[in-house]
Parts: sequence; structure tokens; C-alpha cells
Amino acid sequence: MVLDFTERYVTTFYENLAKGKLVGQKCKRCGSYQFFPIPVCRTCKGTDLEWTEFSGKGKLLLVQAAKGPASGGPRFDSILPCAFGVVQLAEGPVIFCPVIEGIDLNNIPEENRQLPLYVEITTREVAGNFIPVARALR
Amino acid sequence: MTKRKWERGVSIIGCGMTKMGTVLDSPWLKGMTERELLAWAVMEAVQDAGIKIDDIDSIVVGQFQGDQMKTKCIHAIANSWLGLEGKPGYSLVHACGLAAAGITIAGNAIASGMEDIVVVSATSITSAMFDEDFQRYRKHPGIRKPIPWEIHADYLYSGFDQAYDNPITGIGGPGFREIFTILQYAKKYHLTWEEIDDALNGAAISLRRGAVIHPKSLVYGQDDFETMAKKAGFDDVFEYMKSPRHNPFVNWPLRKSNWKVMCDGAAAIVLCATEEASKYTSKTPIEVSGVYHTGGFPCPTTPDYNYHPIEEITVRRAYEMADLDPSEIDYFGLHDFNLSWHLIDPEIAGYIPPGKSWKYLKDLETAFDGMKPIQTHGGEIHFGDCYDPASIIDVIEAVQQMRGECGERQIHPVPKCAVIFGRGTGPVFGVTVLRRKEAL
Repeated sequence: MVLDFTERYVTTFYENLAKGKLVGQKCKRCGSYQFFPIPVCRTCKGTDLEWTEFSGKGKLLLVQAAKGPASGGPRFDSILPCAFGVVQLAEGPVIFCPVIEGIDLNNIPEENRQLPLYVEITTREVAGNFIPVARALR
Repeated sequence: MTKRKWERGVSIIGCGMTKMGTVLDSPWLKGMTERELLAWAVMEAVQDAGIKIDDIDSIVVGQFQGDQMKTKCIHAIANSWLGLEGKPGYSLVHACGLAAAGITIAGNAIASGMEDIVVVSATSITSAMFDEDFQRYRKHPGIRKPIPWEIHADYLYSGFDQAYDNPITGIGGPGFREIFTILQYAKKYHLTWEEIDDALNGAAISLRRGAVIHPKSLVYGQDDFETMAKKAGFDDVFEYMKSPRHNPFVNWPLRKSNWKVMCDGAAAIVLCATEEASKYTSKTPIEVSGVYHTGGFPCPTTPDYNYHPIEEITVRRAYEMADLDPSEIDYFGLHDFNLSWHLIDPEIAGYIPPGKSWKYLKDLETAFDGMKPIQTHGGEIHFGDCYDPASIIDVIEAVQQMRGECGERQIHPVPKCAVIFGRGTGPVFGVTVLRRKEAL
């Protein structure tokens, strides 16, 4: 098999994010899904991977409040305060999600007690960056 | 199959470090550059080892603060400043996980027979940056000004692959994994937030007890938390630690006492072929029985957020090299830039059974006089965190404990075996296993 070393992993990921699509990869050899996209399957070390769009469904596993200032700089201040957290996608991969909507920011300890919560993930533009945003389904 | 063991024994025979402080405010460091800090640490280690400068065959130097020094080749500065012209040098960017990587390079050189004595060192100024004019050589590098947090945060971020990280963790900040580590631990073992709070406060109390009696620490001679509580009118130190006035939450569930204090400093260790050690020193050689270091994804990617494959792999490889049964471990060190790691690292190491660390921390059993001593110099939390030198300092504390040199904070009986974890941005992860030579 001839390997394709010409893939633009980073650009493809962000171009899809800008279209509202959260994409990752599926390994054709072992069937694993992975996020973020890289040239090698983290599970079986195979190199035959295909792009896949995640369903956007997942479970919020851990949550915390960001009240600012934003570590990424003042350009992110517009969405603070917000919740952020660890989400397991329906396909399996676990991702860090920078904005979780529908969380009581003043009661994060209790919110963590109620996890996991089902979430739906969309994307949003913040200061020129597209980021995944999860909405808690209660 | 590769044996994965050194054919020739390698021991640490010398330790040196500056006193922690800041070059802007601390009289003992004021006006120093990274060069003088490095020279202080290396000269002290050379003296401790009983060697001469010319006995050094090569030197490894931590490069994480290279941006601050405006140099890409920090080892060349070490070559020229320490009389090591014509000797090999290595600049290593392994952040706070430097020690295990440096020890691996040094050990490989010694074990192969190419070299007999190698120094592993690092120097770092985290508190101050150059005046802008330095790059045009109008002002000398001893002139510094305070470094704003935004710039410092950029230094930290530069240790990670930011390809997919920047727009995402730009909100959460570099501390997000540590917070989730605590939340995951509480969730996994069904702990209340009060139990977590007591565990983290217990760790802080134990660490500070060691730090205030270590002459090189940032807080040497200051009050421990028990004394501070009494002075503030609290009979119970844990009530004091939960007081919003004295120890507020900085980023729940972490309180002010649960975060590192950044500082400037340098540290160095001298490694030597074990068979040659007695030529230089009568001190007990502390043999490197096992060492391994790895790198990987910036954060865990499994539903158990406290499982990261690099940790499992690194521990396994280091323990295999050392033929180590975790029940042998008498002392445990870890890189604790915040206290979340005190919950999981002793369990990953096998030093404390799974799900029990919080109890040992809460009961103050991880202090130097406890059942499971950890970071008896105070850790990065109270001793001070100068980044890659701090990873060497964590190893030095183990060596000095195993030599019985720690005075008031000495563990009894003197430890025969120690394991030290190193964690750095990247992330990098390292494990070092030490045994007292006479105990082998």
C-alpha cells in the first residue's frame, strides 16, 4: 500500500470546525475513533485512517467554571464566565470542551455530583476561532 | 530481546542547589543571571561529590527557560562558564520532567563506558524578564523587570503542541487538567468535597512542615501552618486551612495553599560510575536502579480522566529496569506544582494503595515523620517551583534522605529505596528509581 503523506490534518480539522462540523478519524484497521487527527492510530499504530464527522452527541463527565481572566487572552473574555469540561463523544473519544451551556456556574460542586449529563455539541466562532460548544440536555 | 539494563552501575554522588528566591527581591539572588545560579549549583554539587571540575566528562543542562535567556544553546553557556570547554554538553527541553531525561542521558553515557562523570543541571529565572533593550545589547542581562502573567503563561503554553490546543484550552488555561484530576479522583472513589478539601489541606500542612526547616527553601524559618493557626486563634489547624480569610479557594477545589510558589534557582547532580564512586567520596552512593521518560498527548483521552498511557508505560519500564516491587519504596517524590498530583501519583507508583492517598494526606501521614513520606523538602508548593531545576531538587531530596543528611526532617529509618516522578509541560513524564548502594 502506498501511504499518503500529503494530508493537511490541522487545516482540514479547522476548516470543518468553521462549517459547524466536529471531525476526527476512524482507523480502518482496528475501527477506533480518535480525536485529534494525527497520521497514526493511537490504538493500533496503524496508518490507514479516514476522516469522520462525529455525531455531536456525548456525555459530560467533569465540569468546571471559568470566571476569568481568560488564559488565552482578553479576546476570549466575551464568553466568560462559562463552564468548561470533559466530554465523551458517542463514538468513544474523550475531548476537552471549552464551553458547556446549561450549567449552574454558582454550584459547580453539585453539578459535578449530577454527572454524567448528556450533551449536544455544536461549534461557535469566538474572536476569530471556531470552538466546540456543548449544551447540557436535562 | 534488549536487556534494558545498564551494563555498568550509575550512581548519584553529588548534589547542589541555590537557595530559592527571586533575582529582583531576594538579597541572596539579587542581580544574578541564570549563569551565576547555574555556577552556584554545579560548584556545590562538584564539592559535594569530591570531584574536580576537570573530572566532569559532560554536562546536561535544562533548556526550558532558554527563551528567557535569549539562547537556544544553554549548554554552550555552561561549557564556557564552568570550565568545560572541549567537553560534550546537551541542552534539554523537558520542562519540569527534566531530571529523568537528564539522568537517562548521563546514565547511558556512563554505562556504555564512554564517560565516567556527568553533571545533570538546570537554571531558571521565572520571576523576571529582560528589559526590551537587552536584545539590542544596550543593557546587560542582570537588569530585569517583573514578568507579567500573560507572558509567563505564553512560556508555559509553548511547552505544549498548540495545533489543536490553542482555541480550546485558551479558555481553560494550563491548570485545567489538574482541576479535573481532583474531580475525577473524587468521583472514582465516591469522596465528598469535604474529604477532598481535608486531603489537600493535609498535604499542604505536611509539605510546609518540611519546607520551613529546609535552609534552601523559600519559606525557611517561617511558621508552619499549625503555628499560623494558633497565632490566628484556631485550635484546629484544619479549621484554619478551611478559613476563607486565611486560605481561600483560588480555583475550586484548590485553595491558595494548594498551588506552587514560583521562584528562581538552579540545581545540579553529579552522576558517576558506581565502581568509581569511592575514588571521589566516602558518602554512600545512591544508585540509579531504574529510569525512564516519555511524552504524549497533552491530556488524557479516556473516560477515566486520571489514566494517561504515558504514566503506565513509564512506570512499568522504570520498575522493570530496577526489578522493583513497589512494596520496597521507602520515599516518594513527585513534581507537585499543585496538590492534585498528591492524590494520584502515589497510587500510580504503587506507594499507596488505590483510593487511599486522600486518607494518608488527610491524616498527615505523608509528612517526613509519617508512614508514607512524600516530598519532605516541601515540594514545589512550599519549597518553591523554579521549573526544570525543581525536578532535580525533587531527586536531590531523595538522595539526601537516603544518605541520612536531612537533619530535623530526616525520615527514620533512613530510606533504602526511593521513586521520584517528574511531570512537565508537553506533557513529559519521567520516573527515577534510586537505591542506596549498600542496600542493593
